[in-house]
Amino acid sequence: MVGYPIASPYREILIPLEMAIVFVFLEISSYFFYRYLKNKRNKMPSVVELDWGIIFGVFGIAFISYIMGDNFFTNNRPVYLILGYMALNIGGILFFYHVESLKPQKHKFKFTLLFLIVLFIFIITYFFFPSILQLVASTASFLAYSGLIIYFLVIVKRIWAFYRLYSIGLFLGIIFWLVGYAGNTDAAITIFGGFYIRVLGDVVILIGMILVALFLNSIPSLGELGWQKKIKNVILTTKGGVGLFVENFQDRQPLDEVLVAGALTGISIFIKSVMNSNGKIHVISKGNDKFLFYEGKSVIGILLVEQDLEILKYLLKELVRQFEEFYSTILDKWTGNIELFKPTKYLVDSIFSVQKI
Amino acid sequence: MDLYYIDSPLKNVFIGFDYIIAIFILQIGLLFMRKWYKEAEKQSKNFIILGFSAYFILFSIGLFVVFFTMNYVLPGQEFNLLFTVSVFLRGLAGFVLAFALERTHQTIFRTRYFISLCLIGLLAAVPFILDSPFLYTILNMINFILLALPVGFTVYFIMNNFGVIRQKLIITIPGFLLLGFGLYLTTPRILDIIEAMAFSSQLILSSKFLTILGMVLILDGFSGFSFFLETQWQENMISLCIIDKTRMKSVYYKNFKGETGESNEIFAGGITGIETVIKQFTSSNEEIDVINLGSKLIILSHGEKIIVALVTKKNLPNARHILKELTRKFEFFFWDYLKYYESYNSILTQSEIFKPMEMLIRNLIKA
Repeated sequence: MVGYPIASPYREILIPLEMAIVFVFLEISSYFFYRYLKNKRNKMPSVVELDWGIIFGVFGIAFISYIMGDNFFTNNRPVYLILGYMALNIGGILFFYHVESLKPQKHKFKFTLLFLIVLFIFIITYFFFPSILQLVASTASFLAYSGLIIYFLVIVKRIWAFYRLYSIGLFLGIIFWLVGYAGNTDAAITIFGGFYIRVLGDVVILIGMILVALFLNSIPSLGELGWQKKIKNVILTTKGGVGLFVENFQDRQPLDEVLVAGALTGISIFIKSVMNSNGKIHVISKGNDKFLFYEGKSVIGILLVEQDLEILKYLLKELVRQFEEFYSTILDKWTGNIELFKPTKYLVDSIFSVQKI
Repeated sequence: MDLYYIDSPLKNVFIGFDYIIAIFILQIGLLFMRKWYKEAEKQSKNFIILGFSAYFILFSIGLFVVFFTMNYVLPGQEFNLLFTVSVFLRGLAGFVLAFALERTHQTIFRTRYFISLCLIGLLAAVPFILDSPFLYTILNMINFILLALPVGFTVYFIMNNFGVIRQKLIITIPGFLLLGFGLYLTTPRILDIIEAMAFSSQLILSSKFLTILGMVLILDGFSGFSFFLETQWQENMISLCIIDKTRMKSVYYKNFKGETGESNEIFAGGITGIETVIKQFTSSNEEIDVINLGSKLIILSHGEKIIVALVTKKNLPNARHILKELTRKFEFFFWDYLKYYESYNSILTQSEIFKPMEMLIRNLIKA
């Protein structure tokens, strides 16, 4: 049986350790909220930052409740426990509501609804069946973990191709965090026969947090995760300025491909000659419009985007490389018929893997 | 036996806060280390950043050791050893930063490694005076140098920066002061005084919050810009061209490297041409702000009648601030000249009209 308040010597270890965990959770959460607000101010789409801010924030709040209930206000421990569970639950509702509201299909709020039902069950259990509150919480936690792992898998999948090592590190950090959190429960303390498992759990959470912070920081920008929505146009031209292919990704006024291709190539040639530079033009920034350039052997690729993300630069390079490879025989003896390049659409779709929005 | 904290039910919470403070300082050090490492990868090493990084990392480890010693170790040989180690680590933190500053900025500080040598002298004395009343005097001197060094350099750095960077750096000064004050309140002698007061727990808790607030200010002040690049923003500037929008021609050109660069007339025509072309097929009314050429960038600032183009190696907030200032001042002083440019042809050569710009630029960038 687990006894509270936590007695020495574990008390001296657990309070500072769990305060450090609260600090790290709240710090990471504040960082994401700050990034979210900053992006919002700059009118940049920023979905992931808000989601992550919520997740880390509610875990921090839940830990504060547990520290209070387990160490200082043990007479009212169930109140603090339910406060912690409710914090996680409300966080889950906010998080999944935000994630699911971005989905296009009908009946999309499945997880949100599930978390609402769990919240209702928590309240009923607290008032009418308090003895099984922790059992209900453990079941709910299992659901929440599954939801979170699915979400993180989707996130990791999006950056897997470009940041493989970081993705592994990030996912490992998340697993450590969730496993450590399981080590904090009364069930784990009872099964393993002492508070040492909670100390271990806390250490594992801290390691997980360090991994998450380290690898999240190493990914150039979280904005990279939403790169698909930031593409406006894809343009391919010859080095002489003849337009080969233009694709419009957003519902906006179509571009005059001949004018655009000619003009942008002209700019590139001008810059190169006037700047006495061997360097090629990389980016032209005009407020929220960024033109990314990549010059291949015989073709110039141009992306009109909202943010000059590393992923987009990489994909543009890939597009030019694959285009030149695919049309190598045609490009050498091209007579001016752009109809030949219509299949480029499939190449663009496969590289950018996006549906038009 | 608890040497450090007064008997309070919140004792473990205070210890928790101490570790949070040490972790926070460690994080700041690691952030500086990351910046240094990223720049070192590009073959541009900055000793100051490394110094700041080592300062915060060693300082935090020193704090970890001192907190651990004060809370868990009984007085005796072990206590003395750990206490001396903690003083050494903190002193070493100060020494590394002092050495980095004195070595890199010899012409500014003119201290000829005096501060570094002082710190070595003070540290060498510590093991011999552990039981002497002089110990606290020496410790206070080390702590004072530890605080004065980053504050002093940040003040110097503030004076040489502009706009957002300056504002951010100003925030770090109260941050350092709060950090120093908060840590001073946790020393055993001050805690003895606090113990005798009413609301002692609340006072200690407040001192922890003040320290954390100080660190938040330091972290905020040093983040969001490249400390490394901003310390040498002038060196990144290559050339400056002021373009008359209406006539699409260059009215002023300066090469900061003393080289013959791009033809300024073609350059001016090209930039205005690019502006016109890009505007035609983008929906927004915003102006082009940056043209990135990989190793070089053209940063543009738009006035009513002019475009100021700066060719630089990095797009830095300080450089953008200078551009805005130049645009505003040029239009203020030379508005009439711009209006009746052709008519001045007979009186002065056009290049002479804008000669006073030299002084203006010199004052702005102190080049």
